[in-house]
Amino acid sequence: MRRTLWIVLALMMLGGCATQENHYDPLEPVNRVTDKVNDSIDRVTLKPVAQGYNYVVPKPARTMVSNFFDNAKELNTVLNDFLQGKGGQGFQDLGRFFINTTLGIGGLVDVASSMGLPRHNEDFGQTLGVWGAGQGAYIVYPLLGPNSVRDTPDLVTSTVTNPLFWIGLTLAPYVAIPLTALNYVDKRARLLEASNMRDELALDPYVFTREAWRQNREYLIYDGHPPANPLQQDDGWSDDDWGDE
Amino acid sequence: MNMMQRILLALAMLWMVTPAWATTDGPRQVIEHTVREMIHVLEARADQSKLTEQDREAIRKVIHGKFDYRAMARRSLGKPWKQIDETERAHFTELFRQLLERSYGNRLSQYHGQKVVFADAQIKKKRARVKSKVIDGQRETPVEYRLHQTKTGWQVYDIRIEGTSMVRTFYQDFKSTLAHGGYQQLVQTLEQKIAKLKAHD
Repeated sequence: MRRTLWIVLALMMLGGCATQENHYDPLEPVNRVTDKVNDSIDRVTLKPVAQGYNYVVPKPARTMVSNFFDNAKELNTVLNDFLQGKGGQGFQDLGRFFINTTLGIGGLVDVASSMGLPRHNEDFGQTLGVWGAGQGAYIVYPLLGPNSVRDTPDLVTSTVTNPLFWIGLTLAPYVAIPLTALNYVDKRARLLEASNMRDELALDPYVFTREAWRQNREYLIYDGHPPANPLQQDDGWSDDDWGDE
Repeated sequence: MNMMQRILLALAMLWMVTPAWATTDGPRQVIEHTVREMIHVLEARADQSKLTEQDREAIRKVIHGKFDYRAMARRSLGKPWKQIDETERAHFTELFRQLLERSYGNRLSQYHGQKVVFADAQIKKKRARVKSKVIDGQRETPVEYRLHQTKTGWQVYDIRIEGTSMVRTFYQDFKSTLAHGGYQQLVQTLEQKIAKLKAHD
């Protein structure tokens, strides 16, 4: 098992070297189909539910729900802080988890932020990026949406580091289902603005999403300071060079 | 007060007033002022859930001369810009402006008292970037503005929300349409898109 993992990792690194292009998308034909199906399912299920949720549930309550699920993901952030060599941030985020779980009533209130411990965004896909792995193929997963080869292992780490997963698995399986449902509604509700923007602006929604997603991932990997993009012949886009990036 | 003092005072006042109408505003001042004015329009709405045609017009006025739509359109289009003539360029810029105004307006209509804070501009010759944060409760969204120096002062040519460049995303998106149906197809699709957005409100 361990061996396979390393082989997979090694392959991904190789993939990284070979794929410097922005729109490297060998799975495009399959992805486009998945994207279409996802979108049509979303329009009749999750999207209207999320809209209703935004309409019915007042903002403070929605914030609590978001805080709760973010807090459950905090240990994944901690793990990846350490894996990226950000020890100080790792301990800070661990502190966040303990403070918010206790004082913040199971994570409903983000008291740590007001105590000078701001939220960070790290996951295993970013860690692999920091370690030098390229994005690899862009993948649109059924129901889950935009992803990539590099971000796929995070589906595992984010699950096993999530206390809700273990609670659901061992103690109370019957709360796991409504909780998972609420998690998805919360996620979708937070994406409403972005998806409305895509619907309004995109001529080719698939390409629009792929590009926006890719840039956002790049931004997260570099913690908000992505390097300027050199002029690429096939791309034709030249970025402004800002020394520090 | 003698005559000399009066003249000096008048000159001093004139000097202090000058930045308001001259083009000496720095990039941060330009965008910060524009955003404040926009928030002002949004807060003055009678119905806080939508934008009326007057609100849209007021926002248009605020943005006028601060957003360089032509530069945005040119960068979003890429190579084909060099091959089209001046009339087509003006037409394309106009379509681009309408699409952006509509969608940007729809986002703004959701405004509910978020605070926007700005960091000092970083300037490199004729280009500048201004980082800002939209603060909604305890959630922050980083928004970065890229500006360039024009004859009439600093103007925005790109906006990056959470690291995603608007112009760059358009560039890839447009490229896909260009590859399938060329420039005429792109213009047609844009026109349809705008008509649909207008019909929506």
